[in-house]
Amino acid sequence: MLVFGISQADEVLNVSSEDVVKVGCLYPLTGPGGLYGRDSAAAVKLAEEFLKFSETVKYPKLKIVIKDTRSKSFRSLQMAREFVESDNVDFLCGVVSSGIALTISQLAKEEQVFFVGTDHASPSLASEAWHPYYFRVNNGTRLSMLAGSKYIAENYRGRKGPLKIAFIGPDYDYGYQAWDDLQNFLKADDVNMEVVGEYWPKLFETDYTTYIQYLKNSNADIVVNGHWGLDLVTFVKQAKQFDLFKTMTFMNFDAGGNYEVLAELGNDMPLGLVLSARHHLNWPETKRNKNFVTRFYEKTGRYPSYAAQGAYSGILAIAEAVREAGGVSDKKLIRQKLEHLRLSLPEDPDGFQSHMDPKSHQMLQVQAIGKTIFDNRYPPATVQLGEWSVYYPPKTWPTKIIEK
Amino acid sequence: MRFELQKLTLAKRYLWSGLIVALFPLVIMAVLYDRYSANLLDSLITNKVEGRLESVAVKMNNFISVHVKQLENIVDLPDTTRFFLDVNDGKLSGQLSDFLILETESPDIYSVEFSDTHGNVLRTIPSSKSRSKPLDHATLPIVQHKNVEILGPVLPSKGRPGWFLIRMPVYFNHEKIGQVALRTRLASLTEQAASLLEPNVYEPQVVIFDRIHISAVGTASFAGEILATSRQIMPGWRIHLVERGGRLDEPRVQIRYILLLVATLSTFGVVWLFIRMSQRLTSFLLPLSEGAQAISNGNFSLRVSENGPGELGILARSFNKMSSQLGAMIKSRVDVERRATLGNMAAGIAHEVRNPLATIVTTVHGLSYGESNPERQKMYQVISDEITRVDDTIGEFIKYAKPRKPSKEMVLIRDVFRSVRTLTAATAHDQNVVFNLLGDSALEVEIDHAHLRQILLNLTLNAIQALPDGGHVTLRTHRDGENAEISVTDNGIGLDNETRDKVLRPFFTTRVEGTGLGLSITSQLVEANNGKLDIESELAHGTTVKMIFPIRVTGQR
Repeated sequence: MLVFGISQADEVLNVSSEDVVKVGCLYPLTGPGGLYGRDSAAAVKLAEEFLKFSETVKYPKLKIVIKDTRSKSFRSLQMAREFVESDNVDFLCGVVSSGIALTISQLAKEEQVFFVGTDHASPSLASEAWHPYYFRVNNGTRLSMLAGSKYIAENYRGRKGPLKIAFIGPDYDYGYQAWDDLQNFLKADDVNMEVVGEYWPKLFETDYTTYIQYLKNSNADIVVNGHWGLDLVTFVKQAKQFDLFKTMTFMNFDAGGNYEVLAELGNDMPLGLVLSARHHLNWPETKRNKNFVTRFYEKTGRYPSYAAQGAYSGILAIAEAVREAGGVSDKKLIRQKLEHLRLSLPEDPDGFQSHMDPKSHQMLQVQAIGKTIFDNRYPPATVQLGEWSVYYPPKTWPTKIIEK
Repeated sequence: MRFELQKLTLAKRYLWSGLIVALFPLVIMAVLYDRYSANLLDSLITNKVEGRLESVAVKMNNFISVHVKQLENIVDLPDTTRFFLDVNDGKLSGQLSDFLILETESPDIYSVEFSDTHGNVLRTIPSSKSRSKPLDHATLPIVQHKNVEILGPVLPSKGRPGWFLIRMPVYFNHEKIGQVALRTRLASLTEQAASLLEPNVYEPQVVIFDRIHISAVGTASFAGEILATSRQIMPGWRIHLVERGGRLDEPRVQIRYILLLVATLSTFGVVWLFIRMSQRLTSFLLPLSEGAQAISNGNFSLRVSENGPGELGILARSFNKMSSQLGAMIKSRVDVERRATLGNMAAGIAHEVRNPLATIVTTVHGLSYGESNPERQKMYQVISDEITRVDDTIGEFIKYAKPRKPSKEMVLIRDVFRSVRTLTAATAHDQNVVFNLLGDSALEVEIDHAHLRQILLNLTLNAIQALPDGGHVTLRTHRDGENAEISVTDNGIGLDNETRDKVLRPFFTTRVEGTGLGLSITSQLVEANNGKLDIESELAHGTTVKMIFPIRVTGQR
């Protein structure tokens, strides 16, 4: 059941009269990143369905409210405050941008309210900005970069001379952390490399042509890209015009293979790019993943971006932790349950369960890196990833940060 | 040199003159245009680049002004003053904190920093560990720009972008109690110059005190040859346009060089074209010259190629026609003169030979009547016969030399055929020759009846004589358009080529008793009746003499 009344773009999901778990989700439903929010909202409904019709386990009832942040930092903070102060939510969830998530996480820490991250990926939230009430159920950039480093090491180790790498990513915490982590892992993997360029265009930039010129002049062997969403779509379109992909290998390990990007680029997506994402439509080819993709398509008429699976995981995580803790009254117990949470999610290959790292509160998941190949099974995208390289997570989340 | 010039044909001289006349002004124009366009380009490029540099400098000034205004708004807030007066135990008020979060949503501003009067940072909004260092502002370059200080820039390093501070002091009762600074994204300023970038030609740089060079994407760059410089954006801050592998005006200069190259290629093309035209013209004119030379040597049979284009082809055809007509005319003239001579001679013979012969014959007859001796009578008869034969020969000769003008009438060819067959029937029978008369039995032709009969008689007798062992002689006629074609064919001994070419000449004969005038007269009679005669013959297979006469000479029926 849907209830309207908070604001025009906000949604209230499944209301239960007694002992409900109140969840306040923050997603951009309009503006930049709006598709991530809309996919997340649809996935929240799918998760609710799953919980409601679960025959083997009885889950607590959830009251989920989604507010449209429009990717604005201060607007997000005000809405989070409303959730905490007016709605007395038990959990905050969502948030696409890592920059906004840092602000919300700070509020959660101050207010001692659980904040379950479902989309943002900067490692800062699970390291220097860590606090007991923050948990993240989607793979962060650190695990993406760990997998990316291994991919580079496997494919370029043993070559003559240093591997020339250039990086370009959005100018905010997410980009900085991704590049830091990749360099650290490459050093750890003993890859002989030389950084020939670092470029930081604005988040939501629309003209990358100058940056692409400098990238081309860098004569890099590999350009690692840290963009996501429409930024990545714009970058790929412009880079293709300037023949960047003919001169260097393009890699994006965290969000490049997101279905939204593939769908938006259509035939403009070049083949042979090395990409990954936190969830893929065509990997793993498990019944659970196929069901998730099919069900989402039936509900919305489109295929899900990875944000959907993140939001789906977040709701399942909250429900499971509360169920195991027997209610929301004991926050300490809920935290313990979250710290040892194990979930079977659509992105998990057979024989693997996503599980929370108790120290960092970061979910540990498998990362699959592929190359763009022709595949028109999921229109409007005409390209999907294939030729997979699969990387399982380490036992614990890598927390050591080399000081800058 | 003069000798060389004289060796040139007229065509070549004209063409080379035309070429020089065409190229000389072209080269002068190209040089003048190039100088003019080069000056114009220099002027335009300089003006354009300076204009664009000025425009970018204004945009950068505006960028700074906007953020100075933003900073003023923060500094002027009472909560900011309270923070420095330490009213809230070093904490920012909630309202100020929210306001600052809102202000830093701009991607151009990384954070707002509150520092004491010595520059030590007290608070940063939003806080971020990744931005916490370096904070030793004392080591940063500093310039005073209007009412603010500009600190930095700090160039990108260790995986972090570059930045600079716009700092403004906070006063309370005319005493400086602290400072507020905007940590500003360096690339947001330098990106304003991105439009000036010409890859691999030149790049714009923001240069601070001629020491620090920053590219349009906010990264450290290196010095190079300065092509243009803007005015100061802030004290010590300028935009330079730095050479990067090409000249400032290279794209335009390239176009200029391409134009010059095209002009040069055009010149070579024109020269080549003229040479080809000259050679081609000469190839057509030279045979004409040789033809004229041949005519002067009396050779009218030489023909030049008529494949030349346009007027050259017409000239060649006219030349050939002229040569042919000239040859025919001279041949005709010679023929006329020869006949005139023969005519006079024939008149003389008629007078000087035939008359005495007539007297001799009469006398011989007289003597033979009075002679009783049969032996002598026989001798008289022989003398008389020989004189008659000589007279006949002279008669033939006179006919050839002074032919009678044709008296034309419509003649049914069939009748003439039959007449000839009757006349030659006995001879044919003796030689076992079979006659065939074929063709259009109703065909008539306008011709001298006696001439036609003589023509056919001569030819038929010749044909019979060509059949010593018997054979077939065929007279055939049919209509061919406005003409009647008549042929006499035998399947006899035939003629070799050499004989065939000579048989129409007077006095040419292959027989001992022949006069050599029969076919000459025949040919003459055919011509006199506007006909044409042609002989086809093959040795041992036979001969066909074909004649064509116009059916109507007058054009009336």
